[in-house]
Amino acid sequence: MLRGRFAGRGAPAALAAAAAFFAIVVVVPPLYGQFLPQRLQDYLIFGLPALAVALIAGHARLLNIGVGATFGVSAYTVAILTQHSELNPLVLAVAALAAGVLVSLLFAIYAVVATGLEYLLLTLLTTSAFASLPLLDTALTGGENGLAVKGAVTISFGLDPLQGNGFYWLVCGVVIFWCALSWYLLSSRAGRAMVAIGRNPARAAAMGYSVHGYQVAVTLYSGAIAASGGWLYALYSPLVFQDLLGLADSVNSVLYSLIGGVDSVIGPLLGTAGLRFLIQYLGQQSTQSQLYVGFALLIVVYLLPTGVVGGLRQLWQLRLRIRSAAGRDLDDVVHTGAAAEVDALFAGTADE
Amino acid sequence: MEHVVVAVLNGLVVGASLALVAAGLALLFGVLGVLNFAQGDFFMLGAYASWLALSHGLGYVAGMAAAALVVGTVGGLGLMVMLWPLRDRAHALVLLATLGLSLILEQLANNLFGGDAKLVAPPIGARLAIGTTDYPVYDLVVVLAAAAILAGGFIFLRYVKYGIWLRAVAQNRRMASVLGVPVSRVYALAFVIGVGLAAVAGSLLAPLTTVYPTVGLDVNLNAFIVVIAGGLGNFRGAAAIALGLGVVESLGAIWIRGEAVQLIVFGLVILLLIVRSQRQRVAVRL
Repeated sequence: MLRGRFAGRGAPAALAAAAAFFAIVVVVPPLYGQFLPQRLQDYLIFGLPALAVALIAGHARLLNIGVGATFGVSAYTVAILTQHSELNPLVLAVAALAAGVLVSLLFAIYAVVATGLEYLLLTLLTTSAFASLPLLDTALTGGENGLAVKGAVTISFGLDPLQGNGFYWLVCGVVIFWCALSWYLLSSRAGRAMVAIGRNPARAAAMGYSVHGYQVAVTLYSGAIAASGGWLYALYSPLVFQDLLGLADSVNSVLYSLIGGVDSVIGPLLGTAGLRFLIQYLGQQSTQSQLYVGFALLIVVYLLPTGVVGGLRQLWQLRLRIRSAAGRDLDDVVHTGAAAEVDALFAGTADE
Repeated sequence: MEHVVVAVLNGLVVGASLALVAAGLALLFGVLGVLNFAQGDFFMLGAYASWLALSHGLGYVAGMAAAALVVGTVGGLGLMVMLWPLRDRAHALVLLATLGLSLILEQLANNLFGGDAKLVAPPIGARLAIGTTDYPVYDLVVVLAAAAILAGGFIFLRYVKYGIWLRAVAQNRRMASVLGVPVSRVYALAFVIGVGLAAVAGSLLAPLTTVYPTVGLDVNLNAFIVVIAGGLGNFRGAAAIALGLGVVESLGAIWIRGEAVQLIVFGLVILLLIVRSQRQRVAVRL
């Protein structure tokens, strides 16, 4: 929504909208008791790996369906260290991030040696391989039973995830930090180069950009984001388990980002919140939640192929175009492409 | 020695059934560029077709024929109609669409048949003595049936008009169209065969795995591994790798833990894919 808009005409409005959005997220939920912040912190934590996927997919045009490995390894790192009596929250945070970045180094290597479909399949295989790791050393990882995270509130800087709003604000702080940094980086020269590389790597290379260098950088950066999600997850969950590393978790992150829109920073967070809420709500109301989620996916694919935020952005641009053409005949607007844009939005050709 | 023979046979059973699913997946990708996440669900529907046929007093062969014809035709054409608007579109969208379909099919199967595992009695109860082990003859029939189907598929692709057209469309759709190949009919055929192969595999394996709504999930992942290792769109490569993978996993499990074998397999496939991607890069549309 706000990518690359800082220097543009709509920069102040975009900044104000982002600030207002996060102010509401930080301030309003705690006013309604404990339930809402706890639900939102879950969405925000799982929104981080979705944001990581979106950054790689939207800007490096590499679809990573192995982000669960990064997220899960970070969470396991915290759990394993607490099992070995390491309860210093700063040490745990650094270790979790380092472990996650180490895993994403593997993805960075893939970005160099493979492209497109092969990259996608390599990440799929990698997350599947990582999911089988806990079974190799059950004494260390707890195997199929998972591993308890020890240390209670000590490891989360004294903030109780189940009482008060301190932990919720910690999660908000981490998410806001990553979003702000991502917006800043994407609107910088390096970010624009990344977008250019994603659109046409050969042309970008011919222009002198280090394609692999940028791809490695964005992979490691997004790995750090996913790792911070894993770290936060371990702080608020009493248990880490095998599924965190596996394909299901990774695919969920891809779904959240595609539904929200990979071309934006805020889209993956909205996609995560929307889909997780839908699954949880429908799971309470009916036993048919899987059916509804399946149909929801099809609706997104056929009607909103650029994701919810991408669709909203296109509608907004269409509105601006119509307004700017207000002095002209409506037919002129049609011929200048406004109708084509609506057509692209609903016919699903906008991401080509 | 007896353990080795039994392990090889077990591996061949797993590999043969996997080869059928993977061959369908490879065909769908090779001809249509479709990464079908719902392939495992067509395996599940094939298994249910067998169970339904048997529970209604029809024979096992009738169940398999129903699986191939009904699931293959209805499922294949349904999938084609669903994915037709997404042709030449982002792979990610096709993945999402087939994932959505997979969720819907699993829930519908759960609604229709319940979540419990259904037992399907093997049509052949005889056992073959291998040393001190009584090996089920039906398992060997599965291997032979899969081999026959795959050989038939190979002959079809090599010598039959529509098979040659399928290869032509896979190589260059536009050129094939210019030369008079009915591309949309070839597409329909590829969908029907691709889905039908998964359904037949489900039907064949139903007596070995039991039948439940998510039975296709594990098969799906393994089929993807096989297709990747065999070469995307490579029908023969997928079949060969499936058989090899089944045997290696089964043999490896004699000496080292199953999880370690699986990890080694993942590592080898990753290496293979990296090496192959250096030679030929497959473009993905995002």
